[in-house]
Amino acid sequence: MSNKHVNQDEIKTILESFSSYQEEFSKPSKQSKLFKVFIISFNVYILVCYALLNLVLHGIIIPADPTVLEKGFLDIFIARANGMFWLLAAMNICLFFNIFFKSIVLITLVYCVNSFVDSFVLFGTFVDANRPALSVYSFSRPFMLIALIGLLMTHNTPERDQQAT
Amino acid sequence: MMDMNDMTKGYRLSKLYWLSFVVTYIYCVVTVYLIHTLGADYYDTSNPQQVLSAVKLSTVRMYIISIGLIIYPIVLLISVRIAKYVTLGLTAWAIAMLIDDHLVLYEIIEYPERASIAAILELRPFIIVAMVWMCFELTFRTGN
Repeated sequence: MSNKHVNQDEIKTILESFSSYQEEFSKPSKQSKLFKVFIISFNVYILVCYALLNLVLHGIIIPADPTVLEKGFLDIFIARANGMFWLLAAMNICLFFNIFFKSIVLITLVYCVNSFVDSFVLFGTFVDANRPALSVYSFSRPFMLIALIGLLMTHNTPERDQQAT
Repeated sequence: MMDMNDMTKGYRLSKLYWLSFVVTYIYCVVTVYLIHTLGADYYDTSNPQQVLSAVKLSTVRMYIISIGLIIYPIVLLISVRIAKYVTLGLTAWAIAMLIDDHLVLYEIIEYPERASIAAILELRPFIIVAMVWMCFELTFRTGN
């Protein structure tokens, strides 16, 4: 009767065959300084916006223009902020593991453009002297899109992904 | 003469991909046709602001879908690699629209209460599944 159990040598062989693969995924890829600037700026922008929104929601910061707290605007900001938070988390994980980074940046870019178009069609540009906070938000959004396009263009794709595509 | 089977074999994509492609394409064509031919009397005029928002948003989306319908087959013929990114972008856009509508826009806009419009809205998740399938096929099957 044959012994169907896997012995120590066989387990070791199996683990060794995957070790190089694991190293390849966890090894940070070399990126340009410009890319680092874009990724840090994007992270800071999203996290600052998310933090500001939460501070406003909890009444710690009172906005200069009360229109920000109107239900329509607030619902949109909360939904968009949550969406962006999860996309940012996914983007950073993809960058860390060097996998599908460009795909997730493309998804984020499409999500942002869609949000931008929807808001523009429904509410206009938000730019108004009586609503400084919303105006600043409106003016800063194109920079976010530029950062995303910059991430797409400056990302140094690992050789493994280039072969796959 | 090269038949359809030979043509599709060149792309190394399954029949399920082409089925998803055809279903999505027909859905988009029907959607564009419906938005284009929808009369003003189908809207609930008791809330003009919501109707105006719906009309504006639908018109913008109709143009984007039309551009996608024209561009996608051309891109697929030129390069499968570019088609992968275009499919990914369009799928992300479809998902973003669905999430946006459910989270935000259903409170602000009002779609006409008509069976065909309701069917188009209800079928959206299935079309998104078809598009996600196309993304997976283009990413994994053509990459090997």
